Amino acid sequence: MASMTLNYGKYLESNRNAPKLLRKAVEFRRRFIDPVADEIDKKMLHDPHFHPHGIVVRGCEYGLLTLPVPSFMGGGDAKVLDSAIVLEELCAGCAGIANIFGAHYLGLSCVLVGLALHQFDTIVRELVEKEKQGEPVIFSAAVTEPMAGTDVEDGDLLRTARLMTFAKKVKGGFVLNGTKVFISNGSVAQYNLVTCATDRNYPVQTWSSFVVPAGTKGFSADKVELKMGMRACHAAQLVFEDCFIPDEYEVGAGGTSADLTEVVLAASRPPVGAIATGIARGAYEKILNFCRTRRSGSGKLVDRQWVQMALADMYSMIQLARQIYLHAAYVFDSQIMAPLMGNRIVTDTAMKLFSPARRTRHGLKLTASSTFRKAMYGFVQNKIDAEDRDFSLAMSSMAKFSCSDLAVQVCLKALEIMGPEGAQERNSIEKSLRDVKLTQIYEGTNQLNRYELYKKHIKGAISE
Amino acid sequence: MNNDSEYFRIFIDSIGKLAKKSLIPAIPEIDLDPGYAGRIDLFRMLEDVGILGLGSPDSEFSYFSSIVSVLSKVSEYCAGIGALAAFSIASNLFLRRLGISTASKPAALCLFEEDELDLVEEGIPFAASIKDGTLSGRKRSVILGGYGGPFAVFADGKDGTEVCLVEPDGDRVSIEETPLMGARALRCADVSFTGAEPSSCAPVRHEDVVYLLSTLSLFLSACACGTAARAVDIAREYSKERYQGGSMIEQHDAIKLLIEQNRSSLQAAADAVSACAARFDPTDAKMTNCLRVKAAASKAAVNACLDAIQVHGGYGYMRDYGVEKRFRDAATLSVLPLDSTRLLLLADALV
Repeated sequence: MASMTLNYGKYLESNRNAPKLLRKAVEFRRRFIDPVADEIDKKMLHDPHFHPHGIVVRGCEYGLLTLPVPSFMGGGDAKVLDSAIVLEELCAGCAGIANIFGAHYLGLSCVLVGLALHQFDTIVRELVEKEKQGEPVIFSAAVTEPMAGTDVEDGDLLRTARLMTFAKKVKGGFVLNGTKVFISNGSVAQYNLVTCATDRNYPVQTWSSFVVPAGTKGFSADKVELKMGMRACHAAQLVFEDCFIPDEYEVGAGGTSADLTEVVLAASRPPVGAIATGIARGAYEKILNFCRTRRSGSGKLVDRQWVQMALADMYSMIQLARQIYLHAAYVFDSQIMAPLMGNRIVTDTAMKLFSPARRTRHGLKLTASSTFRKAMYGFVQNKIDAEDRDFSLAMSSMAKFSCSDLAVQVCLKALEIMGPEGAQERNSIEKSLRDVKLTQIYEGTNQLNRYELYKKHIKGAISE
Repeated sequence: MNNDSEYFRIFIDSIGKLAKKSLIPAIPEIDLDPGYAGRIDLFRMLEDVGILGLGSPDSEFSYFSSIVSVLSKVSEYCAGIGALAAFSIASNLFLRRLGISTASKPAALCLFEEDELDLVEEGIPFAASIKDGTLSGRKRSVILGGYGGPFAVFADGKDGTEVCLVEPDGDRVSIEETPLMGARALRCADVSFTGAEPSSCAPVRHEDVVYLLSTLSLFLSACACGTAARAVDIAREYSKERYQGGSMIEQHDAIKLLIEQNRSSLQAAADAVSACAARFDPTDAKMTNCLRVKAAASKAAVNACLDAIQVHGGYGYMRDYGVEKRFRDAATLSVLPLDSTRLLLLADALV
């Protein structure tokens, strides 16, 4: 059988970390996801509050929760490309379980991409240390609101968004009021990265991010949605009622999160493309197995020419999708993250050297201060070229919608090959189909992502 | 009596009223639990109002065009119930064609074995067989349509393929349910027969099999079009309520096209279903139009439901809003009784 697992081409040739991470992901999927994926999916149809915590605990052994954390902090040092490859593999097993990690990376990336040093030394440090002890610390990112989904994913659209969640500046911190919806991991996360405006008249200029720890007074996440697919990953409604968040839990410089969001989305959309690709690959693997074992006429199902043509179509669509997300991830890693991180030897040494000083009471006070956060924002802005950022976001958006559209087609083809068997739960092709639909919706609908590609890349070519 | 009659309009209206009163409240229960006991009541209700008797000589509406209109209407509310009726009506018509009479409506048609394509190709015998007056074998993907009636089983008999009626009670018939992703009012199962004694048998010609697949395909096409058309209407209604980018999303070209492109393909599919039903000729051994129509209707319905979810964004993916159910229903119907590829290969073989 042509292995799709290791066929990543040139993108892995110069990357020493990715093959190692991929092997880990393959083993994790085989040992802990494949055997329980269908069972958990069925269980959560009737009990959406169930959470496969045991699998996340197992993920600690494999360093899955700290995968994107830089090595100078004890993490897996995975670039976006590495994380995407890992997610593809996990999603081939179960997209719901994989999405627990994917949504966690999204929450974490708000801190990592913004170089929020105070959070590095507090909550990210806690994540790293607890993972070593087998205690998962889960993150989530809370952006979507009941009346604003697409609008809060784009700086221009944010101006006219019907927002419901606001933070009000008070002495020593902020008071949050409002509701966020469909938040992956929202009900199980220890730390929720919540974005909202501090002034309803100037949402873009005051768009800010806050860390809201679970258990904070005034914060609740009791409602878990019953979804069509990806059931293993909770989608929760987060409610904030006079929820006080101290100043040090503000991420980045106040009112700059609209910029940060664009960078985070450029980082997070290639992995969504990988998630879609992984689901498609899972469907392909299942259908290969089905065709190999099922009889048709005097031969096997796979001997039928129409089946061979369909398998070839599926294979090519998966490879196409993979190349698109790998390219987008490569663009982000090389044009955004590489300049941001600078010379890794110097950066790593400096970060390690100053780590003890940063973690003292005075050090933490300094990194939490508004002045320091503004300085870091300036540093990040200075390091990221605006054109590179736009190009990266365009490629990421293209990867997201292309991969998810291709993946839906692959899963429909799998359903077709299986015939009436495909619609039955026991063959789990139907699960792939239910799961894959979400990839056309979350992280910005595919319509928004097409708009982003036009706005950030094609529009420029027209005006030239 | 035809579709233009006042009586038929009243009949269709009564289905709507009945659906609102009895069907819609039961849909979440049916969808969540394939073993939901209330389905039996719903099935009897369909029987009482005469939907299951459509097409029979004693029905007011014996034309196929009436049948597809009714199935489409029922499926606007619940595709699973529409499909349940479709299987029941097709089974009755099929048994009547073979000259087999039953006291109660058949509860299931046991057709498929390992590969469904075997069934549509002439000359491939069934593994299930009748020897010494007893039936043995295993049938896959059996749709358990009705309640309380016999199972109609395709098997290899002494003189070729036969259809036998077998009562499903007793330890010689074992049923292993295998739930469907959608249209969950239909129960699906693998059924094993070990020395079951058929009550009556009749020989089946290849054209009878084609007749059965054609009627099922036509009726399920109507169900798919009905549920998908409603999904698009729901999406349209939602687009008037959802604000985005400074206006209601109904103002956005992307949304307008998502809705209108699907309306266009669904309209074409529904018209094809109606035309095919109006021209249906039970004496025609080929009936390729029904198979082609099913392929077109399935594609249109699945795409329409996928896009209806898309218009809803995140809300569309949540079970509370019902559009995701319509997608699951349409996807399920797209492979019942067979997927489009197998149906088209059969159509080609018949030309």
